[in-house]
Amino acid sequence: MQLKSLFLLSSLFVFASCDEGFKKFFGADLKDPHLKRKKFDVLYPKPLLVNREVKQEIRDATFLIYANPQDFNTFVYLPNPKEWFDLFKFLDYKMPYLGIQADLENIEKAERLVLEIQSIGQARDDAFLVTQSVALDIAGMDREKLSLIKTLKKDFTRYKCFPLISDKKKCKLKKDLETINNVKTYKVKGSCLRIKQAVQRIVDLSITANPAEFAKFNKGIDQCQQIKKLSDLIEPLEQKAAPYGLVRSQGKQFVTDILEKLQTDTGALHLAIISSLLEEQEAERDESPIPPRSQIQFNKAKTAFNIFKLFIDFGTDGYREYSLANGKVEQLNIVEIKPGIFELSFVLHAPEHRTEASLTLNFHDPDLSRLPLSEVHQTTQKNIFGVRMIGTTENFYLDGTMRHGVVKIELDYL
Amino acid sequence: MTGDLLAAGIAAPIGLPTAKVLPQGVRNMTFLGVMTAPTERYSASSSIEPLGQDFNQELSFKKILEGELDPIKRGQLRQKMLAAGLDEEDSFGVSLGEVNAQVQASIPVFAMGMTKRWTAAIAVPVKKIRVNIASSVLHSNQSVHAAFANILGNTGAGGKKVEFEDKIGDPINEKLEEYGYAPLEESEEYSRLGDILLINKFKTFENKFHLTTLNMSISLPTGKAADPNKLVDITGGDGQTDLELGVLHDFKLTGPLTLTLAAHYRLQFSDHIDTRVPERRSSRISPDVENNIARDLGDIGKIEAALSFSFVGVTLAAGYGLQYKNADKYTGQAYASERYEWLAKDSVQNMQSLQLFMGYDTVSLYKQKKFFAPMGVGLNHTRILAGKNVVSSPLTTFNFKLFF
Repeated sequence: MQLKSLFLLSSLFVFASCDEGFKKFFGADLKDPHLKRKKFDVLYPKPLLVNREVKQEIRDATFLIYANPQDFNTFVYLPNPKEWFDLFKFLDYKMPYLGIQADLENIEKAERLVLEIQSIGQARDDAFLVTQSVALDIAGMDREKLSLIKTLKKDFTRYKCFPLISDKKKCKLKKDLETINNVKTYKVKGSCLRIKQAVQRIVDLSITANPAEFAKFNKGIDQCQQIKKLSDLIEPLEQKAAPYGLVRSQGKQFVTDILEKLQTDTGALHLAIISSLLEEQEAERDESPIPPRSQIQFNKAKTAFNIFKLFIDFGTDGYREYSLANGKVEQLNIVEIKPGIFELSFVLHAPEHRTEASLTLNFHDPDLSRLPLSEVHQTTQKNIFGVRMIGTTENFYLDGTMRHGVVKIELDYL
Repeated sequence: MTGDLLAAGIAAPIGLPTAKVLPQGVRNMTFLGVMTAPTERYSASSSIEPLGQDFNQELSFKKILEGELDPIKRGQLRQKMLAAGLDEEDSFGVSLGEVNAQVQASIPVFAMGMTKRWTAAIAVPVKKIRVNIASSVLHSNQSVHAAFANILGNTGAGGKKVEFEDKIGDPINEKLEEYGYAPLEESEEYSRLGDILLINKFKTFENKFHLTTLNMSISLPTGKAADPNKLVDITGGDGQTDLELGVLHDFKLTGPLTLTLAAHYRLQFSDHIDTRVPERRSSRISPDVENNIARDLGDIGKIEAALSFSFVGVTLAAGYGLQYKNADKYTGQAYASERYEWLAKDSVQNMQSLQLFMGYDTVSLYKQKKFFAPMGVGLNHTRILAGKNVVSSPLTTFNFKLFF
C-alpha cells in the first residue's frame, strides 16, 4: 500500500514536472516575449541622375585627417573669440566658443577638434550655397542689361572732362582750343536723369568713343530706368552675399591654422590639398604657380570612372599625381549600398600613409529645392552643389598608427 | 546584463537546512529536480525589474553620444545634431528588450555515512537551459527623425544616413555587432554542467534535544564561466573554486517539531577569466575583451532558520534564509583601473528567501519493518522575499531519495 502510494506520488511529481500547467503553477514556465514595435518609415533619395552630364574638372575638394586622442598631449588651440563668432554667425545653430584648452582630457580635445572642423565645413557649405545662389540669380538676369550697368557705372559715375570756354556746363573728353586748360572731375550720383545729363554734357563723346561703344552708351541711357531697377535688385543681393564670401576664406584659414599646428605637434600629416578649380582661382589671384588640374570622368551609367586622376599636395614635394594609371590609386569601386545610395571607395598611396576612403556619391537633383538657409537665398531654388562625393577615410601611417579623416570632392554639371 | 544570470554569487536555496547526518554505512541517493523560469530580478536599488531591463534604453542623443566611444564619430554626431536644430535631450524613442529563461537542473546527490559522525556527499548539477530573447524598438518622435535624416541627406552623408537608420532601426543588435558580440538568438536551448559540490558534515554534539553539525563543502570549478561574446549567457556554475564552512543546529522541540538554525560562510577563491571590460560606468556592454583577468568573487554569508513538522513519514516545513555577498574584485592590465571597478559594479548582493516543504518518506515504516525500503519524495518551493542584484523569480525543487 505504502509502496504504491510512494510510487504514485513520485510518478506524479516526475510527470507533473514535465507538464506546462504544473510549471506555470510554480512559476517555472518559459514565457514568450511580448514586445511592442513601431518603426519610422525610412526614405532614401531618388536613384542616381545618370542622364546628367558632369564636368571633368573638380570644382572644390577637401582632404584632412583628424588626430587620435593620444596626439593631443600638448595641443592647445585658442582662436580669437571675435574671429570665431564672425565665422559662425551665419550658421543655423548656435556654436559656442570651443577653444581647445590645455586642461581638457585628450578625448575631449579630439571630439572638439572634430566638432569645430565639421562646423566650419557646415559654415563654408552654407556660405557657398548663399554666394552661389546669388551668383546664379544674377547670372540668370538680363546679361546685356547687366553689361550696360557695368559700362554706365564705370564711365559715368566718376569721369574727367575739360569744360568748354563758351559754355562751362558742357565739356570735352579731349583738351583743345575750345576748352579751358584745367580738367574737371564730375561725380554722378543717383538718378538716370543725372546720368543722362552727364552724357549730354560731353559734346565730343560721339567722336571720342568708337561707334559701338557710343551706341551702347545711348542704349544704356535709353534703358536707364529699367537697368536701374535691375541694379536695385542686384546690389542688395551682392551686399548680403559679400560677408558669406568672407566666411569661406575665413573658414579655410581656421582649418589650415589648426591642422598645421596639429602637424607641428604630432609630426604627422593632417592636411593635404587636392587641386581644384577653386585652387586654380586662388593661385591666379595670388600670382602663384597654377596647379595641375585634377580630373574625374564617370562612365555613361555613372557606375565606374573613365578617368580618376587627382593632383594632391601632401606637403612634401608639391602636387603629385594620384591615379589608377600610375598605381597610386587602387581598388576604385562604386557600389550601391541602398537603393539610390552609391558609395565610392578607393585606396590611395600617399608618401607617408595609405588612405582607405569611402565616400557617398551625391548627384544633387537640380529640380529639387533646398530648405532656405537665410533670407538671402530664400528665393533661389537652384541646384548648387552639383555632384558631391563626401565621406570618411582611414589613414594607415608607416609607424602602424591609424587616424580617421574626411574627404570631399565636388564637380559641377555641364 | 552580460554574463551569468544565475550561477555567480547568491542563488536561491533549493532545500531546507538540517543538522542530521547519515548513520555509519548508510548510503543515500537523492535526485533533485529544480525548476525555475527567471524573468525578473531585484535591482541595485532592491526594486523588481525585468531581466531585460538593460535593453530598455531611451534613444536620445545623450544616450547615443554616451554610447559612441570614438571621439571622432562623437564629434561628427554632435555637429549633425546641432545642425539639425536638436539637442541632447531629443529622442527618437526607446529600445526594448525582453529576456525570459527556464532552467531545469537535475542534481543527483550521493551521500554516505562514513563514520558515526561524518557524512560525505557529492552533488553533480546539470542544467538544461531554455532562453527566449527579444529586442524591439518603439520610435516616437517623427519630427526629430525627419530633422536629423534631412541633415544627413542634405550634407551628402548618404552612407552615414544608412548607418544611422540601421542603428536606430535595430539599436540593440547593431550595437552588439559593432562591439563584436554574437548575435542575439531569439530562442536557445542548451545543457551545462554545473560546479560539482563535495559536501562533508561532521556531527559534533548530540543529545535528546540538540544536534550540532559542522559543514564543510567544496565547490569544484567544473561549470564554465560566462562566454564574453554572449550578451546573455546562463551558465552551469561560475567555474571557480569555493570553500563553504557552516554550523547547523537542530533543536528538537516538543513532539514532531524541530527548529533548525544554520550559519554558513562561503569563501570564493580568486581565479582568472576572459571577460569584457566596461568602457563606461553605466553600461557593461563593451567592445574590449581581456583574457586572463584576475577575478575574486566576493565571499558569501548565509543564515537560515527552519521549522519542520514530521509525523509518520510526512514532513511539513518552512524556512527563512538571509544571504549577503561582498563585492567582486577584478584586476587587469590592459585598461585604466576604474574600468575594472566598473566590472564589479552591482556585485554586492543580498537575498531574503522563504521556503515551504512537504514530503513523505518511508524511513519510520522501514524501521518498523513495515516497508521494504527507506525512501522518500518531497517538494520544496522557494520564494524570494527581497533582495539586491539577484534573480527574484520563484524556484521549485522536487526530490526523490533512496537509502541503501
